[in-house]
Amino acid sequence: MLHIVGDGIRMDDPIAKVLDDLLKLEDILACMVARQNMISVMPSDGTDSFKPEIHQTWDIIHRAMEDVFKVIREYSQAGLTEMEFRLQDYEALFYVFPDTENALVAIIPALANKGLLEVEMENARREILQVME
Amino acid sequence: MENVPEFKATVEISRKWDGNEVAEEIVNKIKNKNLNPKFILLFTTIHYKNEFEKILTGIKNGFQNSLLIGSTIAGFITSEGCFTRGVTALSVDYPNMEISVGIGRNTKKNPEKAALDCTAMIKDQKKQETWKNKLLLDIISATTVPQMFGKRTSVFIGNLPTAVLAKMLEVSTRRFQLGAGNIEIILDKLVENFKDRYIFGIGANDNNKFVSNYQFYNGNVEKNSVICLSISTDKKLFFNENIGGLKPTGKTLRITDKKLDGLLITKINDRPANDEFFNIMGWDKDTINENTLFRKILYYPFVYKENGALHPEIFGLFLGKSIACGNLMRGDDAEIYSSSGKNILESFRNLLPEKADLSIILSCSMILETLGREIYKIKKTLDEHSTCYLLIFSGPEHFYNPENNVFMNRVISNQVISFI
Repeated sequence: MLHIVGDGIRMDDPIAKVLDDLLKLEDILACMVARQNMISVMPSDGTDSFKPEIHQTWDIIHRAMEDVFKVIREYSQAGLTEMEFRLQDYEALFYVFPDTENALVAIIPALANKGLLEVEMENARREILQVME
Repeated sequence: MENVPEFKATVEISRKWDGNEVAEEIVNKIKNKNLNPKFILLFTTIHYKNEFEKILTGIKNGFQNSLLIGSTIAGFITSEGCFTRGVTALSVDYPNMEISVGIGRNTKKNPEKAALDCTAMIKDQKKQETWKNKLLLDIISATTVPQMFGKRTSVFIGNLPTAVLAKMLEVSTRRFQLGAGNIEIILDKLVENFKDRYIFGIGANDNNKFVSNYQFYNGNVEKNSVICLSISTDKKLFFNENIGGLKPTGKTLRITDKKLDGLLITKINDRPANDEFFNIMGWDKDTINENTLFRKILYYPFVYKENGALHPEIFGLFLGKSIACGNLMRGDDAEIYSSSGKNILESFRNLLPEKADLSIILSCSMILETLGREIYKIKKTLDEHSTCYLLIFSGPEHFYNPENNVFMNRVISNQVISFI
């Protein structure tokens, strides 16, 4: 399955596979590579592979993400590497890819053991960067 | 000129999900390094709990003459990266090394017997040890969240008398083997029987949820067990330890009443422990439940002196008016310490020797939780040393140093044993 990025670059399965791996972790409720106004890469089964509990809140989280991406777009070239917000019972983590407006985004439960999840988010970010090179 | 035997060690990882593929990858990687391992230490994160048997069988089939032991852990660092999901295997191949292994079961139900069974197995196998440098590596099943009134919980705020809650905690631990790891009781026996060597080990845990943990003994999956690997060798052993960058805050407390051999703290400063702890910390009791507990208490360990060394602990269990750490409190005068990412990272700077053939580092999984992806900075520090290394995040971590007779089981600390 190929995923089209807004500027026409076709990205291969490897990134979707990285996202699939991340979703296998119990506390990763949803993840994607995204930028403002666009989800660049979804896991292989799209939003169907998100954990069921996130579906009710997904729309509002998605809208909040858009506002975060405005900040990322403004400051990514100045070295902004990470953002996060909490909404209701969830946290959204954004790991920005250097010198781009794209970020790896993950939604986790607000009270999850974030430290351990951050390590695998970082590993996913590094793998995706390698694919992008 | 005498032939100096070669010390071969390798640390391999697998990030595959399927147990058969994990075993195949690890076996092939070890074989590609031309090792015929004397022993393999295998550590997995809890994500593999449905794949353990495939992994163990596959590795055992690949190395039928190698001893295979290990456990679940929260995460690990190798030269390949930092991981909180994966499998790692440390293999050692060295002719001037004798090993023997033991296991004791039902550590929560009867820790003394478990320790003595394990000790007896090792002593039965030990002939006269040729080499003078000795080490006992151990893995002990760590504390898990107890079962109270049919529910597994670490926060039970209610009006039941302390004696009733203490009894329920004891029943949960001894009958259902859900609760305190009893690691100190086990270590007391190990130290008594192996006073001539370093003792160096961890509590096996999961992904810091303290729901379940597993140990591995020669192809078998075990629970609630203690596994020891006794090593004698001509390689020099280097040992070092520190508390993970903790600094005192000046907030002191005195434990004035304890139950269950120091597991349950019932009074602090002569007041109900729960009330006084919240008073000292300035926290609102309504903010603590089993979902918020971990995030709150993690950054406020308390430290007491034991055998001249500093012993950090964190409270992990609130039962009525009492509180507990999961380990036995053997000191009464304590101080609240604080941790910062910067200080924690600094604590790894001078931990290892400059040069070694192999370093095994045990670090508290609370440090992993605190630092998150910043543990890549720990990796950078470790990579600066000339050594094959494996850093395991689990806990609690414990050691016995025969040079100064200090024995410690604690959290938020780091310790290393290196073969020079």
